[in-house]
Amino acid sequence: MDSSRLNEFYRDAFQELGNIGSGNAATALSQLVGRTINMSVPEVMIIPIERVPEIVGDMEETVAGIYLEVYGDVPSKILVTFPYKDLLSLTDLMLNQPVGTGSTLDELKLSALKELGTILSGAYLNAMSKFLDLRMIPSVPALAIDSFTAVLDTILAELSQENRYALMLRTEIIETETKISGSFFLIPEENALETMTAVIQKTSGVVDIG
Amino acid sequence: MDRIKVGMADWKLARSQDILVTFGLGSCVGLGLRDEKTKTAAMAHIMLPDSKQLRFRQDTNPAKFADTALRLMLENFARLGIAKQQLQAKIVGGANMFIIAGTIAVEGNLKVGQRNVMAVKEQLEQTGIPVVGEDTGGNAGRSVEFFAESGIMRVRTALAGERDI
Repeated sequence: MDSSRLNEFYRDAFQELGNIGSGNAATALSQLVGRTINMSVPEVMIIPIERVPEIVGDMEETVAGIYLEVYGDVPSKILVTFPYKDLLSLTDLMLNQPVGTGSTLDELKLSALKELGTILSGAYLNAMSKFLDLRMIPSVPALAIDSFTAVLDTILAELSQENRYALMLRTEIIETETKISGSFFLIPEENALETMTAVIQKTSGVVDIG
Repeated sequence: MDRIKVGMADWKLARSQDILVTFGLGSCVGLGLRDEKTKTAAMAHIMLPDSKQLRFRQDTNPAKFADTALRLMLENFARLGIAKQQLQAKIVGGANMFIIAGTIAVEGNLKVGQRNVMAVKEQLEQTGIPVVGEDTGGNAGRSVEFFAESGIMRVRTALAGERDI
């Protein structure tokens, strides 16, 4: 199906799916760092790929982008971003050090960031795949520290080979104490969309998608 | 003097004092063409190497692909009376943004930057337009300002400063 014609019903359904995923991801991260992690209600965006950079996020901001591909029944892409300025505090939390003690982003911290992507994605996908009864298997994480647009650019180029629209589920991740915030994007490919809508249709008893 | 923004899969034309600007080239390629005599410049933000390899057939945005973007730009130069023999090219971008240790899963997919650069060069070679400046590959994203008057391309990276080509 063409994601541009996604109706309200499916928008709501995808938002709910995002909720299930991000709830679990927040719990996983809270347990890991021993802090309260909030995740916002997911925003469902359907945007022509070319327009994504101008609509999503601060284009010039430098971020760490952790990228994973999702294999199985729901081929998707996952991007987790954190502002560059928060990376040291974030990795301090990850490595169980007092916030503010880290001074440089060394190998250990870079791999901690990737690990963070794996943990968040794993928890998110686990919850979602249980709910849908579909297989969702994340790849190993890849990391880029660059402007938000440049990070997104590669993913969008990949996506645009087979899709015209990007369906994005965006959730904000907020750590309340040190005020670190990041974004979690799940970007299903068009055929994944079909699979998911079919399952939603079946479970909700919707016959006509109108 | 105008700053003319070139979006993703977009292209724009500029004259004399104008500056063409594009942000965040990751694996995408910025192709700049310029005629020295009339100080007319154009820049495209190219996403993919080949319009013919697309599985999604309905895509009708020519600025998105290396092959069709160049054709489109040349047509527009021709309309202004500028022949392709008068043009010089500069290429920026085509980075491999994500560093992955020891995996083939994601790696195979993310070579699109390299393929973009190769495709743009191939198109230019076929058309006989010389490449007079290049800053491609690597692992860093780039933002570009292309000055129509001087032909200078100012390439900025998030963490490694800027340089002119």
